[in-house]
Amino acid sequence: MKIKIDGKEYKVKGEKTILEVCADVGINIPNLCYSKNLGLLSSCRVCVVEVEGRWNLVPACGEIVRAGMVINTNSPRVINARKTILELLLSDHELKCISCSRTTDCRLKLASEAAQCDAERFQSNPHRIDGATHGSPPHTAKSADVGRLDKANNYVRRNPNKCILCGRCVKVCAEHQEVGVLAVNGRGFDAHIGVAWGNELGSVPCITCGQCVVNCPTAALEETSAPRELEGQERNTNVEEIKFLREKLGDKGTHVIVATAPSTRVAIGEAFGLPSGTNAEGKMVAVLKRLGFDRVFDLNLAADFTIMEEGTELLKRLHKMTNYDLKTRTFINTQFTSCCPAWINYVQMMHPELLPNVSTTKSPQQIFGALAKTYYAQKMGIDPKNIFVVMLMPCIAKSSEANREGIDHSKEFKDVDMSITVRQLSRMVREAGIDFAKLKNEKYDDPLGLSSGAGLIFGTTGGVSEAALRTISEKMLCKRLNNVNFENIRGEQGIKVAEIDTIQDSHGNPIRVAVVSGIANAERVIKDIKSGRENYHFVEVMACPGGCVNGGGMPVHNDIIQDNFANARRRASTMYNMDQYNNLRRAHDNPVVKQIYKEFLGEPNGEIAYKLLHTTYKPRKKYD
Amino acid sequence: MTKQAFIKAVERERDGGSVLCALQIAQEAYGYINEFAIQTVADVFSVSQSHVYGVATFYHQFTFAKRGKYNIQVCMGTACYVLGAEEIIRAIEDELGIKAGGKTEDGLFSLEHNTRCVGDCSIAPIVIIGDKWLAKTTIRKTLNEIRKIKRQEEVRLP
Ligand code: SF4
Ligand code: SF4
Ligand code: SF4
Ligand code: FES
Repeated sequence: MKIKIDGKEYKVKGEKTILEVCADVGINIPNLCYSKNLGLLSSCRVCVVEVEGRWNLVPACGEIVRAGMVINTNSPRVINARKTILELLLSDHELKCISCSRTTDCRLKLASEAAQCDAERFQSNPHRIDGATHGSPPHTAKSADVGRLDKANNYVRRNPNKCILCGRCVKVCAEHQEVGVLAVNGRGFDAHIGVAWGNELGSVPCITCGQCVVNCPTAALEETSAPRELEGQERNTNVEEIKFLREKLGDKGTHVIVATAPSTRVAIGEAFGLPSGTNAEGKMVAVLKRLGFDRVFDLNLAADFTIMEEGTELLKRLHKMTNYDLKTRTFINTQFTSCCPAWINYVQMMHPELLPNVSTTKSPQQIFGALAKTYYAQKMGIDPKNIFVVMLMPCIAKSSEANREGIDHSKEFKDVDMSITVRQLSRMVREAGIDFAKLKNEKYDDPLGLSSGAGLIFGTTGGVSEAALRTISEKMLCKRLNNVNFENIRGEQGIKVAEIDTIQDSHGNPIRVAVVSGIANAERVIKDIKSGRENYHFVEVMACPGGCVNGGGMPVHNDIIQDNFANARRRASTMYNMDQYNNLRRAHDNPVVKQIYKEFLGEPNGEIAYKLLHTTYKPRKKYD
Repeated sequence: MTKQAFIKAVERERDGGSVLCALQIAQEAYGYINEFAIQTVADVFSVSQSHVYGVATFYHQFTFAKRGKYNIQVCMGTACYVLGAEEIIRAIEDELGIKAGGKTEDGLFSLEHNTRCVGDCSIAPIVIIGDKWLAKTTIRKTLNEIRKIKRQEEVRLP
């Protein structure tokens, strides 16, 4: 069909919105609430355009083009309307762009700049601070809490004064995660994003996945790392936390080491203008060294340990699959993965009955922390109390994991002192004035720098299973596989199911594996298992849709049409490529892993391994 | 209403009704929306408590603390406002010694904060005390009504 945009004719195929068609032909209509992954919200109205024959302006994000449509995207009426709408959004906004953590990638700021807005044209006070000044609902239980900042230690912090009420966070939390702790409270001028009873996110079952944060167009939602030393302090999260870390780095008496999670290397470049999915491993190592970390290690190595431990655990369960109930076809012995802390939070609060089925193996982050403060400390002859362990993560929940009750191997100090997101690191890099793209590649340090491709693909949905299957298959078959690619559990679908012929349970059945990402999908799989419709030996769950490559701590993109899944897809495919060209593709082949078992840990699932690399889980209350 | 009866009533709403209707039952039964009501509605409808709370805060018909025995609403719609609703509210505040949004210590009166147009502008200004409507009211008429209720209630006390 033919349509006309700004006086020029275009041919269009298929069902597309005005926003999409315009983006295709190079007209970027600013928009704040639309994301390809979330479905239509049409709440911000910034994307309005003129369609001839219609008396009112229409939102481009929700309007499907039809044959003969005549669209104006830059008539004076459109430009003025857009500018006014943005100015109204800014009218009750806390205009602190300079000190704002999202200053480089805030959709509201970018759109307002482009529209040459007068930010103070309608400026009133950011009224959502300290309670409603415009008349709260009568007798509200805690009306003074309207707009209160969430305190520290919630890992996700809300600032309603930077909220444009687009509703993305509500939608992603309710639909992708089926957690649903965010809702629009109040109405009219008092409307704000809040949780039940005006409480903080820390007292409702938020799993700290951070999906709301990567979907927020502004800084109304932010991560907090909550290192123990800053506990309980009211603070400007990101600025204060980065300052805290910088001081640690500058302290001669503290040995500061960092380990980089698998998915961070394929995403960090994006924060500095490199295309999404660029492999920036070498530059990332270089930048961490420039920032003053004493040693830069690879968390993929710890992922290799996770595979050794979790695989051995699974093998044990497969052998004593006595609880397999043929009649109800339920696997009482199903093993769920444990490496995603948001998933663990979810199980602890929503499904405590599943806790015995969750692998006791610690996540790579915690394995690394435990090894750093024991094996590494001994080897280097440094008192573990003087080692400060930092994790570079695609994730917000990792901070909650580092502080989880019972996670540390010793009472004296934490195994992981601080977990920072890729976004937080990119802020530090910018602060230090380092030109990331110009850096020369550097290599990880010894002795914790060598890792396999199996550890690398942990960062994407299906990767954990594939890595484990490589090791378990070869252990069971007692021979080398020619092909260690398990293609049928790759890809971004929310639920992938496969039967693995190379591995059998004690009944001689091939094992059934489910690979799940997104908590809504996990909920579906749990229901299937419980109702007896499905049975699995092994279920991998990652809370973020697509896995850590789409993590809550990843760089935020300002593509004209926001599509986090597409970025995740590109990051994942880079990882699979890197794995394909790695000479070392099996965790059990990793010489460093072998050596540390020999020198220090003993056997997988052995006594020392059990003490350092495993943990136990307690149920947690949903509401405080 | 007993807890059991309330749960039953909400369960009936689940099939065909809505969260809104269930909340109305709670408001009716308890005089306000309490934590038990939010929990029950969330559990029965399999939605999160935040969602139910969000719905409840959107509608002015729901309150989150017990109202007084006589709830006073002063219509703040345009017609009533122009004809002196603001002054009437201030007078009531002085009479009862409370602020709009509050409740008297003896629990007899509560004064609503911001009543939207009640839809009868031809008889503005309007004050509603309990279930009694005062049409084309004045400060004196309103205060007299309040004092009358006070006297009645005193008599009733043993
Ligand atoms: S962090 Fe996850 S669970 Fe918590 S509010 Fe955000 S989306 Fe919901
Ligand atoms: S917190 Fe962010 S995502 Fe949520 S409604 Fe506000 S601006 Fe939108
Ligand atoms: S999927 Fe990965 S990024 Fe997301 S919460 Fe889990 S561990 Fe964190
Ligand atoms: S209304 Fe279209 S992007 Fe918000």
